[in-house]
Amino acid sequence: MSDTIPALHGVHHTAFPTWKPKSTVAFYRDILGLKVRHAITAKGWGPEKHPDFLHFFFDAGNGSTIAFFYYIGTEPRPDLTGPRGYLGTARHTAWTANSPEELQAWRARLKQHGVAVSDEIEHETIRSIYFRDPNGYPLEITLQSRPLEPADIRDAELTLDAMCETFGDHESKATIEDMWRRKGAMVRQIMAEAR
Amino acid sequence: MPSLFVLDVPEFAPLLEGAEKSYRVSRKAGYAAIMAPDELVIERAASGLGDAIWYGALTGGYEGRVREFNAERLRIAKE
Repeated sequence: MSDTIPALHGVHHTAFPTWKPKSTVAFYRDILGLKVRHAITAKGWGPEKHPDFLHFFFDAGNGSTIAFFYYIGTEPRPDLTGPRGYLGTARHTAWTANSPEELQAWRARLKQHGVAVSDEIEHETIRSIYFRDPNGYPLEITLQSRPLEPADIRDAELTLDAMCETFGDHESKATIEDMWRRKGAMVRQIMAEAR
Repeated sequence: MPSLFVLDVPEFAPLLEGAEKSYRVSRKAGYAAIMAPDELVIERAASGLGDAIWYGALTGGYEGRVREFNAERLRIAKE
């Protein structure tokens, strides 16, 4: 077996169920202005009781698409589409803006079309706006404020090491303070070893 | 000695500039260590940090015991 790890080349598509196909098209195609790329229709494909459905794709730039399934005649599942609170926003889609002006223009366009959109939120190395689609799915458009340096990346790797050692797979009763103290010990060592 | 480790990047520069007025700050290997002989206190108002950076300010790790960390103040005491 080869030890070579194959590469990934960015997102082709992510897909979500919708029970609002008309509003979804109006939002993604007409408000966000994304080009329709592909649409599949199928009847009775898949396991028993699998409904008839459509699967359609919008171009989100750089070869990526966002896609939806509309399962005809099924009961809407609000638990899947628009859960509120932090668990509902954890799973989200964030697209790239290329400049501060582009991020501002997106915010202005969303507001102009009556979409509730956040202020620009400054994070460590990105700046973002947040909004939701008609299904309730959380969306983000983000601008990389500065390129990530090797020190940023090493720090992220150390944080993940500290996280895995501290929390494992959620079986530990450790706190974030425990993790920060472990990280502190790691950083102390790196500084001590540096010339 | 209570110490706070901060990644030495532009986002944390205001925090480090503020800390240098009161504490010893040592920079090495892409990190800055803020060291206090007794207790390390950083006031949010003086640091000028927005939410995302302030609430993530302990990401680099620390030594000591966090006695207070809220929207206004970070206080790390001795073990």
